[in-house]
Amino acid sequence: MKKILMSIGLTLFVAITVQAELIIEITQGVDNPTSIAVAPFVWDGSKLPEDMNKIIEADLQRSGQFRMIPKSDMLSFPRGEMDVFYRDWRMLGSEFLLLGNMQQDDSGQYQLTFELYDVLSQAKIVRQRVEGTKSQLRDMAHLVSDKIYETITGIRGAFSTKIIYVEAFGNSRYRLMLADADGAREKQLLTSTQPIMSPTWSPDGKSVAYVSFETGRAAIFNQQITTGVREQLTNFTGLNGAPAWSPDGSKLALVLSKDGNPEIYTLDLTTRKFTRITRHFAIDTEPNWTKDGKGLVFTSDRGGKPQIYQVLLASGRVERLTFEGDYNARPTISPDGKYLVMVHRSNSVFHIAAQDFQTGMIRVLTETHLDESPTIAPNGAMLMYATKHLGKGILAAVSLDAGVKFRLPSKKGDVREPSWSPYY
Amino acid sequence: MIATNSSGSYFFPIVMSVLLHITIVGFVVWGWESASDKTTQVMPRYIEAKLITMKATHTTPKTIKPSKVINLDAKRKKEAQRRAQEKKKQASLKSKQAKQKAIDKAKSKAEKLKRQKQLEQELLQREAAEEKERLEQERVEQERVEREDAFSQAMANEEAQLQEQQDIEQAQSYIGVIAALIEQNWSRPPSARRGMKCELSIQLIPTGEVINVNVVSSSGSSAFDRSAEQAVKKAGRFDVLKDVDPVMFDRYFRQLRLRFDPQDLRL
Repeated sequence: MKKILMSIGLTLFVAITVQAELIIEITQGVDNPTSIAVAPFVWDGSKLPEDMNKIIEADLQRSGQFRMIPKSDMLSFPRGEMDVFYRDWRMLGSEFLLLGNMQQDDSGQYQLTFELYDVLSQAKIVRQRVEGTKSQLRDMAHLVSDKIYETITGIRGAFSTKIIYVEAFGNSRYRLMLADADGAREKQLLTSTQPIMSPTWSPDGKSVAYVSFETGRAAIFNQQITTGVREQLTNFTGLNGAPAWSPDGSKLALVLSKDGNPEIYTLDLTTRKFTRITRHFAIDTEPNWTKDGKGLVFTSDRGGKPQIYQVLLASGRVERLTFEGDYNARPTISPDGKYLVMVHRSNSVFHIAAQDFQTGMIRVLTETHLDESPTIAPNGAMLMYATKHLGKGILAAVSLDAGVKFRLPSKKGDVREPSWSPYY
Repeated sequence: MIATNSSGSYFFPIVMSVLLHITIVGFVVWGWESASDKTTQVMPRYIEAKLITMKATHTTPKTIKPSKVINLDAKRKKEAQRRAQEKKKQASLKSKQAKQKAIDKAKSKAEKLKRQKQLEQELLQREAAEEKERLEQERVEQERVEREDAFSQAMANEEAQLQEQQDIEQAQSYIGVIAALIEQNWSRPPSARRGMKCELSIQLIPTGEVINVNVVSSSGSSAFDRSAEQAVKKAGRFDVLKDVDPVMFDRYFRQLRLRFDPQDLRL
């Protein structure tokens, strides 16, 4: 017995001495925004029409994932790697440092070489060059933002994407507008004295489908963005609305009330054939495609109150998706297919909310009143929606993990119904 | 006849089975004891009881033995003295009564010789017995020493083990501080998801400074791995380790393995 005990003791002893490298489990974090210093870019020419630093800083800041080190705090403005004193940047609390060098060649093309440094590891982690003409300076800046965002967050950046929205001036003039995702460089795609509604990007980013009342009644149009060539897709009596592109771009889901009450149809864009999807005496509207293109989500009041349902195109089987709140409408599906984003009313306040498909959990993303028309950035990280600010319709965005909200610069008219472009 | 026959033939198997059961039960009980010993480490009992008894049995013979050795020497000396005196007496008696007791002379001489022989024999016997006793005692002593050595070895092992456990407990408390500091500095990228894991191996110097960070097992996301690395580098130095004993530092803190396994992410 003694021997047994002794041997047990010995084996324990041996076991303990062998396991000398202890493992520390880190199971929590704080998730503060990453601090980054964007040193003024080196540029020896005359003043540029765009402040590249400012665009990049604004992009990163808007994402909610970054905190900028103010220029006034910087101890030096390094022109290159040899001027980088990591200790200085570390002292400022900067985790990353971005340097840029602008050049202009004989043909007038601009070249921006940028370098991203990991201050804590004292290493250069990115070095890249972007090129463009004078009018593409903003695009170049957004490309830099995209690269930095992707490197640090692990998510593809969406700063180079665009948005389309409707701007209304009272009840007399409507404009369909195209702009950068930050609201800059807006461009008019269409103007009309009659309402324009529900613009949606095609998946290839080349055209936009929308509802226009210019013919005296609602009709769905498809317009090429670069050429401006338009085509009328529907001309039925009653409601012609809420177009939504299928993920492969071959079909449109839409709402027609030609048979009495609003029902969901699909339109095959090559055969021009309409297929009725829902048959119900209640209102079925606002269709959107599931990620695999095999089903649609839509709003229906067949249960008495507007709620979100899903229909499988092959079988026509309908399933209710939302049960929380007395009003859920405008369903969209996040690019990763994991969330149903919608306008959700609880306690008589409208919000944008996201519902996890797997768990059914609803998370309110916005907390202002009268939020509508959610549209999700193609990287799934941000969500844009229309809201009211100082009595005026504006666009606002929120990160999908609900960290940060920002308002896009106010326009002249009332802004509504944004649609975020895909990657193209 | 048949009944008795069958009962007679069953008697042996029954006895055997009873015996077998007893043995099995015995084995089970013994096995149970040793099993429970294993799990509920019995070290405290081990120390208390046996240490005291061992010391008690150990000290007494040590003090007794030298005294016995001294006694033996004294006895021998006394004996020699006594013999010398006796010889003297005998010599004087011889000279005095040589003539008077000439007849008795041979007789007494023989007797004396006989007695002397007897005495000598007794002495030899006693000596042999004493020698035997001494050897026996030496043997017992050696056994005791051996046993004591085994015990002290076991004790040392146990003490080392206890020390080890204490060290580990202490190390754990430092590790808690280190983990908290890293957690405070760990800012996960938004792409971080539950289930992402990475392991870093870091090297420290006794001032508590981190001198090297290596990713030994990647999460698959460079942004996630970098955030973990940065958490360690941002913490930079673990001041608590300054107080750590150098031996302990070398054993536990020279090299640390960090496993980043977020449990508090929503997604």
